[in-house]
This record gives sequence, structure tokens and C-alpha cells, in this order.
Amino acid sequence: MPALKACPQFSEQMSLALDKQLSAREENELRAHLRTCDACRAQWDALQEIERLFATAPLISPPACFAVRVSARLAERESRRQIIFGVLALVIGAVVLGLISLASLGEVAPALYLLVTTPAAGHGLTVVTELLSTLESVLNALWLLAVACVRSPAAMICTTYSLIILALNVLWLRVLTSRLLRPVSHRA
Amino acid sequence: MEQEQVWIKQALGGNQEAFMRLVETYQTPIYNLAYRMLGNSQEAEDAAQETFIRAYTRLTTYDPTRKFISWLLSIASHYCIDRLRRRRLNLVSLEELPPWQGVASDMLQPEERLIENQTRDAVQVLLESLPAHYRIPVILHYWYDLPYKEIAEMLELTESAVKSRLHRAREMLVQAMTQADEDRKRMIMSALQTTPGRRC
Ligand SMILES: [Zn+2]
Repeated sequence: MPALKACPQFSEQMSLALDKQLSAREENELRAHLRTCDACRAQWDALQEIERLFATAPLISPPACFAVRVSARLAERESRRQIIFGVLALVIGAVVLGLISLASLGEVAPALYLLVTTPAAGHGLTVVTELLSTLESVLNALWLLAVACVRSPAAMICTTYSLIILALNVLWLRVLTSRLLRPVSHRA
Repeated sequence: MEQEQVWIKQALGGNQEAFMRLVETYQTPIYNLAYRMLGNSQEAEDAAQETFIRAYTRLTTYDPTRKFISWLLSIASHYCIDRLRRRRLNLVSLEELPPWQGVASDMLQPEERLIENQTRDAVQVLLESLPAHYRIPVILHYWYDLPYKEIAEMLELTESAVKSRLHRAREMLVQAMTQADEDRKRMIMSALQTTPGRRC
């Protein structure tokens, strides 16, 4: 059997009374009503039992070593984050260096184009010859470039540029290999 | 208080040791909130851990004019509400909990879980009769003794919304309590009626 329903206007007053939010006049009104209304009095008694129950409910502590587990999870998260950042940095580095290197290989592109567009069907020998001559012209081109670099008035700039690119490539390769060779999880 | 501000400043500078002092200081209130919201030790552990991880990663957004514990409680509250919502949508099950919870005492067998449920205090049973949005103001009110205004700030509600939710929640708790009383009475009655049959 369902309990009698308390009067709605007093139900909220009861909640406020428990939190000491009623004025003296409002509280007197509520007390007077409780003396005359069974449904509200039943509700009030139940509310007070709930107050007692909750007031004695303990604060539950976590199992032993909780902080240690938080610390481990934090460390795990941090190392995962570092790996993600590392990979991101490597990819960006590779793309940037690749673009710079490609720019300096601009002279070789026409030769490569010739190689790709050569009709090869049934002309194996031609292809090999073409390949060799292309290689020769590539080497020639590089040699001419080098000579031009050395002889031109901008020789210094040209060689410095090439050296910087070389150094950056070597540096990047070293970082890459050290990243790949290091074990992923290393915990103290 | 002084010491706490020092720890927070050090943690902001990336000092995890200092942050662990804060975890040790506040682990019980945060774990309690998670346990009261979620009702089992496994999920409570996970939610409390997650609260501290979030606090660490969002430490720059902490406003030092607020109490640190209020800020932590607010993170925990939002996380637990969200978690209960996902549980209702069946996106989280107890079996799917992440592996870092592989602590022996937490890996309860079904029977043990049942025992845990049975020995759970009456308060927890009553709390679980409330929907998440009513459960959280009740918890913040009774265990942390917070005024309406502070609860409202934590949950991003108006003060009057907190007031009316507490009132509604109390009505639901009364209902749940009378329901439980009736169930108990009915159980005793039916046990009395079937007793003679069991003797044979
Ligand atoms: Zn009444």
C-alpha cells in the first residue's frame, strides 16, 4: 500500500527546514501544519530518519596504495604522450627535410622525366643504354653543378647550403635510428 | 593551506611528486564521492584515478581563489555523471574495465560481488534509487556539508535548481525507503506462510 502523499506546498518547506533555510514564521507554520496533517507528519518522520542515516554514513577510503596506482597511471600517460610527440616531430622533420632536399635535386628532375617516358616495350637494350646515358647525364649535371658552384661568385653560399642540408639529413637519420632502437617502455 | 598552494605551484611546474602529495591529501573525499555515485569499488577506483589524472592535465585551468577540494569534487562529479550516463547507454560494463585495475582485491568473482552488494549499507541502496542528477547534489550536501551556493557553482546550476533537486531527491528517498520497508514486510510474510511446507 502506498503511503499517503504529503501536501506539495509543505513538502518543499520540510526540505528547507532540514537545511535551516526557513524563517521563524515559516517554521512555525510548518510545525502547526504537522500537528494537524498525518500525511505530512509521516513524510517528516521519514525525512528525519533519512537525515539520521546519512549523517552516520562514513566517508569511504580507497583501497591501500591508491596514490601509487595514480602515480603509475600518470607516468604511463606521460610516456605515451612523449612517444606521440616524438613520432610527430620525426614525421614533420622528415617532410621538411625531404622538401628541402628535393628542391636541390631540381636539376635531376628532367633527366628522371626522360627515363620514365621512354617507351620500353621490346627495346630492353635501348632502355639499358638510355638508363646508362641518363645516369651519365645525371652525373654530368651534378658535376657541372658542382663546378658552377665552385666557380660562381656565390660559391660560398652554394657550398654552405649543400653542407647544411647534408648535416641536417645525417642528424635526422641519427635521431630516427636512436628512436627506433630504443625500447618503448622503460619504467623505473 | 599554505603548503597546498606550494604543492599546486610545484605541480604546475611539472613536479609529479608534489602532485602526489595532493593526491594523498584528497584521495578519501574523492574516492568516497566516486563510490557513492557509482556504487562499487572497481568503478570507484577507476573514476577516482581518472579525476586526479584530469586534474593534473588541467591544472592550468585551476582558479586559486577557489578551494582546491571544490575544484577536484567538481571534476569528479562531472566525470561520474558522465559515466553513469554511458553505463545507462550500455557503453561501459564491469568486465570491460581497463587492465590497470588488476589488483587482486578488486577482481571480484560474481559471488563475491554479490556479497559486496548484500553487505552494502542501507544508505548506498537508497542513493542508487536516485537518478544521477539527483544523486550528486545529495552526496555533495550530506558528505561534504556544502552550502547550496557552492554546490550550484560546482554543477553549473542555479541555487534554486540545487534547492529543488535536493527537495525532489529527498521525496524520492522517502519513497524508496517506504518501498524497501514494504518489500521486507512482504518477504517476512511470505516466509512465514511457506515455513510449514518446508518442514516436510
Ligand atoms: Zn499536509
